[in-house]
This record gives sequence, C-alpha cells and structure tokens, in this order.
Amino acid sequence: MEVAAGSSQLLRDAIAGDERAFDALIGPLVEPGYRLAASMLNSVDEAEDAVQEATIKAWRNLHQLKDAALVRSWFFSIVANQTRSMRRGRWWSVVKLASPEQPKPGPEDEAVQRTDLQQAMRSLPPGDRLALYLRYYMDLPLSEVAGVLGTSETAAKSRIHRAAQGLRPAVEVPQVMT
Amino acid sequence: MSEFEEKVRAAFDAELKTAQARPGLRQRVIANAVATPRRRGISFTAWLSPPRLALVGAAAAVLVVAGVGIRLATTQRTTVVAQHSPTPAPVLAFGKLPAPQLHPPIGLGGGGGGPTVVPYFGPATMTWSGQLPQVPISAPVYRFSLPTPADEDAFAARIGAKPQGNDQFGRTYRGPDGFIMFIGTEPVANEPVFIMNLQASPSGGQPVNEAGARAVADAELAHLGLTPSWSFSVQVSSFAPVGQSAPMYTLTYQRVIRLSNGLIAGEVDGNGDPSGIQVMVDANGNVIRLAGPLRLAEQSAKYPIRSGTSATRDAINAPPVFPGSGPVPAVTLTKATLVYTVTHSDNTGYMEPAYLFTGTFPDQGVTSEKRVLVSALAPSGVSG
Repeated sequence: MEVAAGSSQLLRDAIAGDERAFDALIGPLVEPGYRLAASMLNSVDEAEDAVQEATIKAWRNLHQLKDAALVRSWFFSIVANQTRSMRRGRWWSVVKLASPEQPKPGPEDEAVQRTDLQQAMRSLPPGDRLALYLRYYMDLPLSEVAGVLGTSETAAKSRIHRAAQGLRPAVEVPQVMT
Repeated sequence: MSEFEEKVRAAFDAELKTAQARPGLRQRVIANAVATPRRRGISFTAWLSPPRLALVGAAAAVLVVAGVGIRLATTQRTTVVAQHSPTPAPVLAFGKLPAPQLHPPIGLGGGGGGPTVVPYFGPATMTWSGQLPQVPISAPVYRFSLPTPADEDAFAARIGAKPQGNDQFGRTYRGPDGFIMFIGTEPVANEPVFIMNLQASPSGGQPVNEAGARAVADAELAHLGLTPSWSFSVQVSSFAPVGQSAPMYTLTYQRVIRLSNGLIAGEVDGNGDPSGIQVMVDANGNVIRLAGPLRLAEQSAKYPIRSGTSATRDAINAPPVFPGSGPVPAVTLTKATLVYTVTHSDNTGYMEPAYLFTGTFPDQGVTSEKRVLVSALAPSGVSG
C-alpha cells in the first residue's frame, strides 16, 4: 500500500483537527487493522473493539506521528499493542489450538495439510504469529515489520524465522527466509 | 513467492474467511474516533482556554511535587550507600557483568504476572512508595557457555533426536516420537533455547484437570530427561481456546534461587514474567509443546549485592524500553522484588540478580503495570 502523494499535508490537516483528512489517512488502514486484530484475537467482536480503540488512540496521538510515510506501521503497531493488551487481559485465552479429537487423514491431501498448518499457526505464541502475519499475509517489508514489533530489523527477521520453525512439520520451512 | 509463503498466506486466508468485518466498519470507527476529545495535541495553545489553564497549573504543581520526591529518594540513597560501602574491593570471579535489562515482548516465560494487568514499558513519571526486600550482602551469579553446534547435537542426541538441518539462526532435529525440535538463540535476549513441537495423539487421551496436566508434564520431562536439575516453582495457567470448551494448560517451571538469608528469587524473562521450562498440555493430557533455556557448563560465584534503597533512584530514573505513543502516565512504583535474569557477553551467558520494580496505573479501563528492571549487583560488579 503506497502512501498517497500529499499525505504530509493530510497529516498536518488531520493533526489540526480535520476529520476528513484523518479519514483519508487512517481510513484505508481500518479494514487491514481489523483483519490483523481478528487474526490475533480470533474474535470478530473483539477485533472490532481493538481497531476502534486503536483508531481512537491514533486520533488522540496523531501529533506524535512525525512522518506520514510511516502511518501504516505506526497504526498497525497501535493495533498490535491493543490486541496484545486484550490478550494479556484474557491470559492467553485466545490462543486457539487444534482439537485433538479431529481425525488425521493422509498427508497427501492438500486441504488436510492446510488444516495442519492452520493448527500449527494457532499454537504459535501470539508474537510469533503476528510476525508471520505481517510479513507473509500483509506483505510488509522487513523494516515495517520491525516497526510494528518494536524491534530492530535483525530481531524481526530472527523472530519470523523462529516463528516459521514453529510451523514444522506442517510445512517445510526454507533455509533462507525472505 | 516461495511455496512456504504461499502456504502460510493460504492458511491465514482460510482462517480469516469467517472474520469479515461488518459493513460500515471504517465509517463507524472513524466517526467514533474523531468524536473523542483529544487530551493533548499539536494545537496545544488553542486548547488552553481559561478554565483549562487552571488545570494545567494544577498538573504542573503535581509534577513539581513528584520531582521533590525523586530528589529526596536520591539523597536518602546516597547516605545509605555511604554507610554500607565495604572497605576492601570485592573479588569478582567472573569480572564485571553486563547490566540486566528488560527486552519485551520476547521471552519463553509466557507470562505469569497475573491475568488482570497489562505490562507497560513506555515512558512514565515515576515515584517510589513501597517495601523493599531484605537482601543478603551477596548472592550467587551463574555463568554458562552459549552452546556450540556440537553442544546442541549432543543435547539433542541425549533425548534421542537426530539433526534435520541448520542455518544461521539455529538447528532442527527430529525425535523418535516424531517431535520436531529447534535449538537456537532467542533473538533479543540472546538466550539459547530449545523448542519442541510434539504430535498430539490422534486418538486422544484422558481428560485432565490442572493437577493432571502437572502430572503429565512432569512425566514428559522425566521421559525426555529434561526434569530441571535446578530448584523450581511450578505455575499452572489454563484457558479455553476459542470455540472449544475444553481447557488448555500452560505450565511454567520457574527457576528459583534460595539466597543466604532465606529470600527466594525467581527467574524472569524479558517481560519480567516468570521464566524457565514451559510445557503446554491439552485437555486430553497430550503434551503439545515444550520449551526451555539451554545453558551448559554452569558455574556460580558470589557477588556483592546493593540494597534496594540504592536501586530505587535508578528505577525511578530508568529510561523507557519503548518510546511510547501516548500521554506519559504518573506511576507510583509500589513493589520491588529480587529476581534473576539472563544477560550475555560474547560467548558467555550470565544469570544475575536484579530488582524488578512495579507499579500499576489505570489506562482507559485497563490496569497497566509499569515494570522497571535494575541491577541488584553492587556498582563495582556491573560494567557500563
């Protein structure tokens, strides 16, 4: 998602209180932010609450965003922090894991493999799952993943790699991660 | 795009199919946000209408009081240190150690600070009002080697696992029961760890409660020869995964150190949460994940400890771990606990004592907990 030309002006206007400028700046990120929250919380209602809270925080603290080009990672980091807070409040209750009663068909079935992978992904620690989501689902560059996670690029890359290791044996993990 | 990336994306896609946003989400969310008054903004002068100016004056007064509190604490600390300073320089068997620090959000501890508080690592205006722990004049420090690939292979072989591959981040192994184990370095703390993913029995087992989960975890650790050789305290937490009524259990075998005066200090991770070996057990008594630190050739030595009073000034002046994105809260630190945490320098790791200061404050309906970690070692024992 490219930051539109004139976004610096949008940022200035939004900081000054222009609601339409705020909508133009943050509005396109609401739906992706909601999906990020839904992925982390496994609850559509709570995801909506999370993105609502995150948007309010964005509105209140927009003056802290110094560069409009960073709005995406800035907003997603607020969403991620919000989901983290909500998860903490529920003491890991949102971690969705595989039901052990489910039968296990043969590994040649692609749909089954995907189910296994989904189960493996649900059993990942939330932070690892977030790293994978940002990198491979949202296609964020490593620099933005690091921005959302609040770490260095090296640490973000390590985290993605470690998260990928956690998906074995449901999926073959390449030696070199992109 | 690699096959791995395609599969991960497809899995997320499949999962989010049922998580479509309700119509009008963007309009609703934006409208609610802009209807919320801003507490602080760039147009600060416009916000300063006469009634608000009075409020600002009151806030400034509170800050001044807080500042006096900090200075008083500083004065007190200096006096205490002067009284307790030993004349001879202590012998530091391992030399000066790296200063401990928090490094959230990564850690194997997986939480344990309690279900109702949200850890906060951002900026805060801090004061101290609490009871400091009675600490001995010295405490053990542990030094261990960071594992080499040969060490990792030996560790894996001990539990019957064979190498599957390696890369710059770590090595993977497959065990006789089909488990997959990853040995590598936790990226922020640089702590060597092992993480095992185990296959749940397709036929399921017997439903377990917390005590049953503990028994299962104990048995699995014993089976793999991974029962901790150090003293530990087990904490069990349970949760019901979304869409399932059966609980899942997380057991943390927190390492604890008993000090010479009887005080017990537990190990914490980069979040300040209890840390040690973690075992996840499902409702049918299947161990599905096991993770823990991998510390080899551990040695210990006594290091002089500074008093909690001495550490208080460092705590209330400690810089934030994260820059923060909102108003700076005023927090009274009310609790100081002696803990152990891992640091490292080059190819050597250390587990050393530290003071974990905490204080809670309300933040938009949630109770947040400010956490600050400062070294418990006498300044002569810490580098930097």
